[in-house]
Amino acid sequence: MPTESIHRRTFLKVIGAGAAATAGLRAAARASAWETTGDSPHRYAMVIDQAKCTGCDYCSEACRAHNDIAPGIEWNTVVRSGELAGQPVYLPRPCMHCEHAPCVEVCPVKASTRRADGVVLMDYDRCIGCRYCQVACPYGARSFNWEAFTGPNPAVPKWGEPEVPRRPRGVAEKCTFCVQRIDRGLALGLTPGVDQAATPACAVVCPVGARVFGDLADPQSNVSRLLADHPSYRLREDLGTGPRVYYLPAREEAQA
Amino acid sequence: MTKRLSSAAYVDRLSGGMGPMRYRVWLAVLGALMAAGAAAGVVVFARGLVVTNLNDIVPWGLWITIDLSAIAMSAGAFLLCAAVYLLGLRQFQPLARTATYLGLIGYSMAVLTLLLDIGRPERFWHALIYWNPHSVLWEVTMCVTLYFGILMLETAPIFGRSSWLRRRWPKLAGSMQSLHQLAPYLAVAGLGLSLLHQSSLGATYGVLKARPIWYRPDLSVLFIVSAMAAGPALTVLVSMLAARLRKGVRVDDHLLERMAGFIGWVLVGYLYFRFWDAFAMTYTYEPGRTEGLRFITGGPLSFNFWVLEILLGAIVPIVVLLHKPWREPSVADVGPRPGRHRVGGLPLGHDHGRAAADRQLPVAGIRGELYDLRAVADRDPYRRWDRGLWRAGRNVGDPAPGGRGSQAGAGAGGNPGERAGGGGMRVGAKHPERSRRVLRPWSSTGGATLTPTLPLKGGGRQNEPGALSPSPLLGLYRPPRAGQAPSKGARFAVSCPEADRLLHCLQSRLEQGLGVGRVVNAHAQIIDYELVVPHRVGDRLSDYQGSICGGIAPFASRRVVDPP
Repeated sequence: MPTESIHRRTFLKVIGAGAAATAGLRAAARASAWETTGDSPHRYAMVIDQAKCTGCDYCSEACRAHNDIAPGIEWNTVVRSGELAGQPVYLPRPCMHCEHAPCVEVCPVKASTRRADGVVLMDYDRCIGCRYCQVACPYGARSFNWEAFTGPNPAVPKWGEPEVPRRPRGVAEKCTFCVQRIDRGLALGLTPGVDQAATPACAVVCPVGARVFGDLADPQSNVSRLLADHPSYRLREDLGTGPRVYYLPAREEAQA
Repeated sequence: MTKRLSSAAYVDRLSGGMGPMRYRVWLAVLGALMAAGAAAGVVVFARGLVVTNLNDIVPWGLWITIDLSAIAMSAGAFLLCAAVYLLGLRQFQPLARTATYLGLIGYSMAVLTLLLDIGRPERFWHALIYWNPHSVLWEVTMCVTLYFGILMLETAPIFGRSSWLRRRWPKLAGSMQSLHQLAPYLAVAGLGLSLLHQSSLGATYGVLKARPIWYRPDLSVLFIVSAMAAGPALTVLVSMLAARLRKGVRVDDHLLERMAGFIGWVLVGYLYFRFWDAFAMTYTYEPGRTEGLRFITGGPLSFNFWVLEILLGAIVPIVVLLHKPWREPSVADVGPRPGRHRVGGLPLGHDHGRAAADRQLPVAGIRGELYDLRAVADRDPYRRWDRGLWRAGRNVGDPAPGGRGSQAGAGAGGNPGERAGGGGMRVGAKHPERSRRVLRPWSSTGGATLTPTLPLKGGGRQNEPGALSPSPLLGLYRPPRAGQAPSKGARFAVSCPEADRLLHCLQSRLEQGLGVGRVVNAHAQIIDYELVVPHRVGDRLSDYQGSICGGIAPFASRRVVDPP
């Protein structure tokens, strides 16, 4: 049956060509913007002391200025979560940088990645804007660029400039633990969490020291000591996401 | 060969009797809708998704719904292709073509909507290059892409038949038509891919820990079961609409009725799963989950749930589709009215039992207002792929399956005459009890005119190579038109012995004066295992040009697919 075999051959050829093209493109594909393999001696985390937080929102503002965040978007938000002994209790919410981040698992193109040091990051050049990560994030930590952000950013003061480029329209974005400060600081030999130049902007700016950033892998770091000395909790621990943001609950004695 | 039609005649033909004016109005309405959609798409591309009123709290909105519904309603394609090519339910072939075509439309819709829905449409190909096998959405994207390709291959023969394409690029049209040889393989691949992504669409939501209403393992089951109901339902709806709106389209009500029963039972299954799915939300008091159930059943969404999903989506269709008197076409609809004829091989089911009819392929038939004669081959003389996927020996009514198996082997051996001869005759020779094919008058005539039983024994010719023409043949009996003298001695180019005998019988009956009128000869061609016949007395052959739905393929100048 010559006709049939010719067809089958053609068919197989087409299939083979398609598979080869895909394999070739995959081989030639750009690597991720972030190094996600390998090991890291660091496990970065943030401890937020709700007993200290006064809800001043400086952290959100510093975050906007440093990361050039569009007015409709919040990487870092502070919500009033309740009241204790007549005093309001606030819940600052950055990205949780989960150990098993749902956004990383669901991203169809691996634009959402988690570095070995625990920072969950976005590759804005790879993101297709499907927003599955937004739907999947239990903490509402992700935002989408619904429109292009042009013009000056009102959050950026005249005397400074943002540390990262602005994101284009149509990609998801979120808190990065100010990864640009961490990486630059490490390159300069600084210690994130100790040296301000290597610490996330929100932690640096906090006037009451409610936000503490540091390395969980170092037992002498400030975060490790805080967690060892105080009871702490994490948001939605029942989901098994393993957030790297710990909260020290508001305490009555501290309110006084 | 084909002279160009004038544009008026072309519109007339395309409109299928709708009338050029109405046809143009329809085209204008549809064109306006498409233009509006295209304009909206341009706005979205230009200004971004900010125009959609989606926000960070509700990142997925109407488009995803359109997308999922389009994919679910395309599920008829894989179901019917599997039924035809894997289960061997050949009589569903006409519906399978309709469903495949609908599937192509549905997936095109889904892909286009997705393109609008993602924030960076120019990066749509990233999922093909940057793989994240952890992601359900990645799997869905890959499956949808591959399946879209399969649908294009599956529908290529349909498009290859269009007279326009054949006129412009006959060679391309020919190779597109011959793609039907891949149909069984495509059906296997399509079945796998469809099962994967139709259920993964449910898993897309089912894995979301963040959304307790969706976070359920059985969401994928609900998705595929509902798709198994929605896909065939759309196929049935479109077939019925096509039969009503276009003169040249014939739909087999019996097929539709069987499909409707299938849909009804699938919906019963859906209701069952839905019940346990909802009930299981109360098993554990997980924050969000039980509240989710309350939210659906008693909260602001309760109308959607109880009335739209359960009542209108399941209970009402179950009652309508499983209550036989309501499901069946009314008697008035079955008569020889345009568009209401039973076509294909199905009426044989009444003669040989449904199970046997499932596996029998009509190779020739005669239909007029008075007669409905068919011959059946036990295996398809043109089937080239029966060595692997679908064994000829699986005839349910077969008294000796072993014997059939050996015949299938012989058939695959390569003797063209034997293979093309049609199994019916060989069965006749081997199993005398099956050598008589019951041929009955068309039921609507009250069984008056033709001998109800007619021997259909195979002659000695079936083993002669070259004695068989590529196309089994069909004669059409026409009643005389007013003022037209009945003509006798119609010409038959019959080669398939069964058809030969059939037509001979009919002719002799006609000559005996049982009928008046003339028999026109018409070539029925089996292309892709589908019997192509004109189905209505007085039909012009051009009525069948280009129609896709209902299993009527273009008739007049078809390319015959030669038997091996």
